[in-house]
Amino acid sequence: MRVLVWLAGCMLAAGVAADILSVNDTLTPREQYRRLSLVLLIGEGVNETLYHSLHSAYSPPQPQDEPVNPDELRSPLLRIVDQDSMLTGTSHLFRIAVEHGPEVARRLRALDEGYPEDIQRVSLAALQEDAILVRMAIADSIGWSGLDADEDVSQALAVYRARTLELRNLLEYEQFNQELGRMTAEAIASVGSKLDAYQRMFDDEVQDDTFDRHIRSAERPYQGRGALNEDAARVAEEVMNGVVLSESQPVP
Amino acid sequence: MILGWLSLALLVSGCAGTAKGRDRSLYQQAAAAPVDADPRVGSDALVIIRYPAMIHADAETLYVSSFAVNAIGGEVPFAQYGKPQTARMAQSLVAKSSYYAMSLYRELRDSLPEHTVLLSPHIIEWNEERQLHSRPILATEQVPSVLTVDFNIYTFPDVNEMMDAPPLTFGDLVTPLFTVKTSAWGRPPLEGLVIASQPLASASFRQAKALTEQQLSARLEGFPAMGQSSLDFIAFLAERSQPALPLPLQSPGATPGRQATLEAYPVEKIQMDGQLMVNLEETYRSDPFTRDFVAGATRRVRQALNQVDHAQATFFARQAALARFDEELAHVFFIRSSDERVLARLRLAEALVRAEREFLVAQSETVYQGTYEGDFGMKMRKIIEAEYRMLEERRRLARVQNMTAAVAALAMAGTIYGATVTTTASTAMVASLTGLSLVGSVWAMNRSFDARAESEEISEAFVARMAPAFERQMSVQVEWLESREIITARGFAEFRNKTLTLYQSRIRSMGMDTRAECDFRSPELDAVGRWYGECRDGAAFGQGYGIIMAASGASVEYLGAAERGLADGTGGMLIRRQGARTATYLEGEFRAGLPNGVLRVERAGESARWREYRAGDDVGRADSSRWAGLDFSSAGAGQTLP
Repeated sequence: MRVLVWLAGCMLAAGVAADILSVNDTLTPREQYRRLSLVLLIGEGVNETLYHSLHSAYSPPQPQDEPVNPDELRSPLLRIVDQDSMLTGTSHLFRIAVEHGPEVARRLRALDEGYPEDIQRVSLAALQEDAILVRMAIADSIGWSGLDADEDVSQALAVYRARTLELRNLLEYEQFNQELGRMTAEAIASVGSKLDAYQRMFDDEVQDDTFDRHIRSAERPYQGRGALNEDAARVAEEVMNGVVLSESQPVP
Repeated sequence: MILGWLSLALLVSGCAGTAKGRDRSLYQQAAAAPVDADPRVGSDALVIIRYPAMIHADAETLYVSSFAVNAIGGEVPFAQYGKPQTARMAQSLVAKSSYYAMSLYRELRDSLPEHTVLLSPHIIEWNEERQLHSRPILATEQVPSVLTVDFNIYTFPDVNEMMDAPPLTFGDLVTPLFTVKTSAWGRPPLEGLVIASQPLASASFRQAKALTEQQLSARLEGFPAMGQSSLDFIAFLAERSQPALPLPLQSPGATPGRQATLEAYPVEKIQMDGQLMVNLEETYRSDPFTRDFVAGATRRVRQALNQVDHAQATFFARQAALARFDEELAHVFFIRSSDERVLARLRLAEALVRAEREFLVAQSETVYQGTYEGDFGMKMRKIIEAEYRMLEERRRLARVQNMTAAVAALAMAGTIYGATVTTTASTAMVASLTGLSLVGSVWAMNRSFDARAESEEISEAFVARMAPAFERQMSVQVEWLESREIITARGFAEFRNKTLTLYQSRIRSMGMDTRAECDFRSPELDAVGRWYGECRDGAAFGQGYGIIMAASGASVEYLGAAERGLADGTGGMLIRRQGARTATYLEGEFRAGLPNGVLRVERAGESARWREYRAGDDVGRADSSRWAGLDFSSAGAGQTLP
């Protein structure tokens, strides 16, 4: 919800979106990262038609000298009662997302590399939740503006809403997957430990002697007869030698 | 000269064999092939290894008698059927299959992507309905898998033939039997069969065909297509005297994948490296079975993975897996929609299947640890080592026996030779030889007969005396696997309940339901079938899956686009005609139920071909670049629901 307020603040104080790239020094790296990520997430799925249509109808005024502190603008009614301000801010935000997307991405990477510990504490899920709420508010405002009477804008808006739906579904999927992963790990550990206990019963089997005796008993019938067979082999060899010798004599 | 030839011939065809085998499997020549998991089917397994692990007491008698009747590699004298040794050999087959299957599991597990290889131990059972059959102990086979490998070792039932030619698994000798299968749609002309040990090929094909018919009947009635198949070896034993089918076979050496043929793996008696057998208990990590068979077989299985389209192979198994917990989604799955509402639900469902796979992978790993690394494995190695020592002694004995028999015969021949030779030197020599041989031959012949009798006695005595060790192994394995079955089943059921509750709390409506009854027809068959998919006025209209079956057993399956109840648009059609043993698969464009345009045609024994069709008539060869195939991924149709 605080992002909605922040966005509304951006929109009221026209030019704040532009300042996202210029006044970040006053914010902590974590906050800068959060806001820049939001710009990308909110601008995701905006096409040229939607951007130009909004831009021509709601051109932002000149930036104010002082950037607005979003925390001072906490009223949720803002997005309901002041749609024009919201659309003006949106127009500006879309411009940044569409025209300066690569630069925003570069800044994000730089923050990630420069302040890894800070950035790790940014909650991706919270960011996604905020972005989804803002996107829904923006889509509703564009619908309220009547810009979607144009078929192309209407289609572009449908695409934007569909992308919002995808983001929501992905967020829900990630939450589901995390919960499922936890359950799976628990189930594997729980069943695995029971099986391990069972396995140990067999590993600690104490009847090895009996088992070995069975094997020795099985081997006994063919052991200890070597001498007899060697005798047979010796006699056979003598006979063979005789045959070989006789064969080796030339017949006159 | 004649004596030289005679001695050689005698030594070669001596009275007693020396129990030899091939030192390397045919598959040792198989080339290595990299395999990647297909991202379209991320929740699926690549290989499930099924093997016999237990016998239920009710099935034991029939299993042993079937084992004796259906002997591979020779006839078993009737007198041997009821002997305890025959039962011992039948039991040893199960215990050793469990042990040797672990080598195949380990090698495949280590050479394929993580969490894609699972074990499915089977219990052999009997009941009036299914007769002799086997069923999986764990839930492994509920996970969709690209390939299923049925593995067991084989040993000839008559213990007295141990030293001769029949296939044997004893000591350093191992005779592996295996079949490699995918689904009926994964390899349509041969019901999914890729490789089969030659003796099992017909039984395996018949079983696959019967399973397909069972599944088609269920789908036609509107039920999920479940159904289990026995291990192919058990299906082979249960068949008794069924005739061999004239299937299109090829030898393992041929280039795999070009034609829709079944690779017939000959029965190989592999003799493992004696150096590693001497002290197997110490050297088992250099597994001789892996070196001489498993490494090559694994490479061949990896090639087989590259022979099939993974998404196509598991499409219906994925649908069946969904049907277990989300019937509505399972029906919509046939549409292959790319609508976000369907995709979102599919993602959750597939995550659930993937979680189940991970659970079962963990179970497979404990089965491996217990069977190979644990007490069971250690004691199996002691038995195999003892068997090896016994075989080596018998080989030595056989050599002696052959030598004595050969020399006895030579001596006899020498006596006759002596009567015909007139030279002094030779006469003197022959006289001395004759004197010796006359005495020696009688003695040697007696020893020869004694040695032979001794050999047979030893075989029987060894098997009989080894029985308590084997029985212990069997009972340990049964107790251990039963505990696994109970603990795992309980754990799995509890896990499934929890995950299902989570799933049901998170899913959203897809905005449609395709469960209404809908007709599907085809000019191929004069019958009305069932359509799962988009429907208009009670007939197939849009994407989906249709099935028609006639009373004759002929059937048509179709996946793809339809209009007015007939195949119309891009699709794949599997036709099983009356009287035809194998199926024909057509994939491409259809119009009014008939192939119309460029289609890929697959028939048994032939390479896949691209043909041009007009209103069902084949009008000639077509350029494959003009062909548009069917995408079997979950969102393959790429369309949005209304």
